[in-house]
Amino acid sequence: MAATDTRAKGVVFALPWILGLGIFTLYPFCASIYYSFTDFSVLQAPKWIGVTNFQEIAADAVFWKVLRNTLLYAGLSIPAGLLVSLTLALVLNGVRRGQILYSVIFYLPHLIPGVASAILWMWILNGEFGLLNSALRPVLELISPSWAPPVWLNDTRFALPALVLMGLWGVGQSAFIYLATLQDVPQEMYEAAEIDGATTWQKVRFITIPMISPIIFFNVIMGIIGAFQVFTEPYLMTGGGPDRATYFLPHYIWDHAFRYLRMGYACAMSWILFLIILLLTMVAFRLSKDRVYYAGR
Amino acid sequence: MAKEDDQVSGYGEKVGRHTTVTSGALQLILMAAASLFLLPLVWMAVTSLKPLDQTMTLPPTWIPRATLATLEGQRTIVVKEKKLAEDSVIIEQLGGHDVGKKKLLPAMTNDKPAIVDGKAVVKFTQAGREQVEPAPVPVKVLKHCPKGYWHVIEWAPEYSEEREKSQKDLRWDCVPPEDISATPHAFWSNYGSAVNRMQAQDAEHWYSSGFWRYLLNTLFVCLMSVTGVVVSCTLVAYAFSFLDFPGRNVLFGVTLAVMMVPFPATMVPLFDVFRSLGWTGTYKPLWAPAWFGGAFFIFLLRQFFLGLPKDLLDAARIDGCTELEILWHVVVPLARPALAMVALFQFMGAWKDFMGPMLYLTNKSQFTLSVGLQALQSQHGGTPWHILMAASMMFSLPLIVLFLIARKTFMRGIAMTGIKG
Repeated sequence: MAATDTRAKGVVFALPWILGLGIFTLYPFCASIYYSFTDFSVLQAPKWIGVTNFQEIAADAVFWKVLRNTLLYAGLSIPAGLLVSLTLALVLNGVRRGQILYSVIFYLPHLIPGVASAILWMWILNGEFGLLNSALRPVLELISPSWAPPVWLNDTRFALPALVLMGLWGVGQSAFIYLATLQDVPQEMYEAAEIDGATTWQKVRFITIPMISPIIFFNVIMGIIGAFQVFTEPYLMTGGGPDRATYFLPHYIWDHAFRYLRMGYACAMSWILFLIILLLTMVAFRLSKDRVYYAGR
Repeated sequence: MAKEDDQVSGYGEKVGRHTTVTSGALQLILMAAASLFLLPLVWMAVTSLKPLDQTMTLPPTWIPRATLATLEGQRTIVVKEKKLAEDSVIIEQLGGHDVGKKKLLPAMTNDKPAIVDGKAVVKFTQAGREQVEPAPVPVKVLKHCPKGYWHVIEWAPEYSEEREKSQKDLRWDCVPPEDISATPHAFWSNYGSAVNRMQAQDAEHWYSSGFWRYLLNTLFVCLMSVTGVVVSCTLVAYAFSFLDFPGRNVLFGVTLAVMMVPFPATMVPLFDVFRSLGWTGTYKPLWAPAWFGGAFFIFLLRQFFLGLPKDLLDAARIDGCTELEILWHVVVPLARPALAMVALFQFMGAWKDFMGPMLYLTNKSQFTLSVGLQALQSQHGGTPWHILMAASMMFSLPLIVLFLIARKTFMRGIAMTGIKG
């Protein structure tokens, strides 16, 4: 078979993706750079206005609040998610009996569609009849009779933490990824450590964590990307409120694009969002240099 | 996923007294954590089987119960309307607007008996407004209800139209507290109510609006996008794995890189692309892109394809098979688990998707389940929690069932997700 023949075939086989990548990802990605510098509503053609959008963003108080919310959400949910999922995986890896059953249970919440889990958690977080407050109320009253649980989604201070808490319910997926990786750690390493008299904690700290550090790193990157894209739950549960306390960047971009039809402004903000993610990813790469251990490298 | 060797824990500990204690403690931690993770789901299921009044009790109840009382000599499921705060009477009206109707009146108003010479002041409702009869109307006392009795109404499923229709005919009474009892009872009718509430009043067929329509729409989008993704990604992954073509490595690098692009970054121009294609208000934006491959699935399939024995492919090539024949007869049968995984992931993604349908579907009859459920929620606000939970259950259960059936394929796939680190 002629080499040119295979090459042509390769292009033909890859053609759907070459087109798809171009039309549905690369073109929109590049077009949004251009739109960032324009005044653009879908109703009329984009008009070049230079950096006006970015100047306006810099002066937009709501944007700064939204950005702060988004960073706070990411700053809370990424470490908390990492801690919970890693702990679950480490504990799961320590037992033999019921491992499959437990991992199924931890994974189940991940299967609940966003709209359904948003409604479910609105009910659980309900200030008056919600399950969470029914459990908290007696405990708080025990400490001090004047204490009452917060109304979560209706309280500017507690709405964002409530969303973080809800997010923790869905960490089963990353816990499972960790578990699968933990099981690839060679048993000989533990045996060798045991001969040297290592405790379980020392084995976890000096063997397990370094051995799975590439996956931890990978999950942190995915966590960053995910946390900066959170949309469905806050959109449905709080609409960004109360007093914009849960108004996040994707939601703000969405509102500008599809409610106020200011697509240029929306694109400019989406680029800021992208650059933040890129920057954080690069920071994560830099920080990981000495801390992530790649076997065989 | 448990390793063959049952004697050793995940940290290489031999079974002994020390490890029995540790593993007991770990089991306890896991049990506590598992209960916490399950609790919201159980709560969703329990709430979906409760009558409305039990969703708002403090402390919350974990077993749905029916309230029973004697109505016309029969033990009937009832709703407790209110506890009488004063002595009352049940009367039958012999005159006025609501002649022949049974009503509950307080026995005394302003320290005077409500019924004087067999006549009482009663209210009636006309054109949705409550009014007072201009003059006392003749009434017949049917029953005396002392303070502390309960006013109970026969329970009826909350099908929106039916309820309005039957509200007048619902039986009611006042009964002493000791007549009321509760028994565990699952209100499956909440599921019917949820379906009914989504139905448009003027629906021609059962499938032309509401829940069943949303389900069919969702299945259509799922089917189209799953087929598309499996076909396109198989072809592309085959090219990446076995065919050399110019720019292959660059293209693969770009494929990996675009997985990092956040959705909001392409959302607006993508909308513009679909709009200029005239696709807004159709299902096409939801499934057509799937026919052009997806970065993550291509990556996953390529990983799998590269693990296949290359000799088989070479043998087929020597036998004069075309690439398409090799793909179909050699690669696809071997890669079935990986393809199933891609299909499952795509199905789940399409089933759950909310942003896409919300953005592109303009007509209510086109809604998928996720936007349909959102519409139900925003239409009724936050009160009928039992109905909303029933609807959420119907939306979530198919995925849970699918997961439990294909658990192994699923978990292998998730584990593979992590391999790319």
